Amino acid sequence: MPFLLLMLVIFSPQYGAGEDLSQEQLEREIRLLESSLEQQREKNAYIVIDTQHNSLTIFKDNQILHQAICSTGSGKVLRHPSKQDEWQFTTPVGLWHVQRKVTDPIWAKPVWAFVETGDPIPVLPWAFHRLDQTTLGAYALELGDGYEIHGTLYPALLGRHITHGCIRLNEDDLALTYEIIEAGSRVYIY
Amino acid sequence: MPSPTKLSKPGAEFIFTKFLIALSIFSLAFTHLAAAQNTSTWLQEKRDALSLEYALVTQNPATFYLIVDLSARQAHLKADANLLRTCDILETFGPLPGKTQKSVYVMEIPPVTPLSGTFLENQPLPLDFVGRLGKGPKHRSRLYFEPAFMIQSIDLPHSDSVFGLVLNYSDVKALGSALRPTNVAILMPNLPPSPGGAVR
Repeated sequence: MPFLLLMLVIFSPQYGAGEDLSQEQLEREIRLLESSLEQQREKNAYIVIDTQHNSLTIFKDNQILHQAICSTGSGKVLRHPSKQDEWQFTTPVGLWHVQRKVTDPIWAKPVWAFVETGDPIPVLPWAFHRLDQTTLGAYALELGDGYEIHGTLYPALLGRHITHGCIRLNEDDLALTYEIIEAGSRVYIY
Repeated sequence: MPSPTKLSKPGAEFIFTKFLIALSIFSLAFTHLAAAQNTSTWLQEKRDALSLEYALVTQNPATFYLIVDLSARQAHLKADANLLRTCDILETFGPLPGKTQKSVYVMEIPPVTPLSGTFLENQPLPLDFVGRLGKGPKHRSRLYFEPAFMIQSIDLPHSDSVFGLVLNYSDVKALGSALRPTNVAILMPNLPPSPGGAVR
C-alpha cells in the first residue's frame, strides 16, 4: 500500500506541474539572458585576426563567412642610426574598429620607411616622394594609429610575420573583405 | 471454474510476480525523478554560465574571455558575446568541476624556464632570431588559471591534482596570444544535455 501511495505522489499531475514550473522559470531566465547577450553581440559582420597563425576570419552572427591567409607584424625593431627613435613592427592586439574604407589608397610613407631603406628622409611631411600609389593595393580598411588592412606586392609571403604592423591580404580576399565589412565594424586582433 | 484453494492461498510465484511489478514501477518512478533532476541541474548550470557571461560582457566590454563547455567538449574564445575562435577539447585531466565556475587567467608558463644565474637568465627559450616569435606564446606553453585550472597541448605531462584541458598546438598558441592576466574563463560542467530539446 505505501508503494502505491508513493507512486501516486510521484506521478501525480501536481508533482509534475511543480517540476515543470521550476524548469519553466529556469528556461525563461535562460531565454532572457540569451536575448540580453544577443543584444550585446555585433549585428554586422566583424573581423577576427589571429596574429599567431596569420589568419583573418570574417564572422557574422557567430558563423564564419570567410577565412583568409594574411600577413601580420614581424615584431622586428628598427632603430634610427643617428637619433633615439625606435620602431617595433607588431600588429597590436585587442579591439579595433574600421575607421574608413578607401579605394585606391595612397600610402604616405612615414619616417621609418626611409630609415629602413636607407633613403634620405624628406623634410616636409607632404613631400611628393613620400607618396606611394602601389604598395597598399586596390583597397584599404583603416583601423587607426596608422594600422590598416590592405593588399600586398608580395602574395607569396602571405602567412608569414613580415609586415610593419598592418594586415596584408591577397587581391581577392581584400576585395571580398572590403565588400562585406562596413565602416565602424569591429576588428578583434589576438 | 477457478479453484478455491488457489485463490485463498497464493503461491510463491504469485508473490514474486507482484514483487517484480512493484520493482518495475519503482525503477520507472526513479528514472522519471532522475531525468527531471538532471534537466533541472543542467538548466541551472546553463543559467549560471549565462549570468556570468552577461556580467562579464557588460562590465568588461572589449575583453577576451573563454567559455569552456565540457558537455560539448569545446572551448570558445569570445569578446562582447561575439565568437572569435572555437577550440575542440581533445582530453581532460584531473578532477572535473561539478558546478559552473569562474577562473581567472594568471599566466602563461613557457615550455622551458631558463635557470637563474645563467647567461640566458630572463630570456625565453628556444632562441628565436626573428625576435617576436621568441617572445610570443609557444605551442607547448601552459596557460594557468586560478582557481587551479590548466590549458595545455597534447604530449605534455600533467598533474592529476589540477583540472586541465588538452587542446591542439595551434589552439594553445592562439589562446596564449589572446588572453591577458585577469581575463576570465567560465567552466560549464560535464552534464548530460537537457532532454526534450530545452533551451540551448
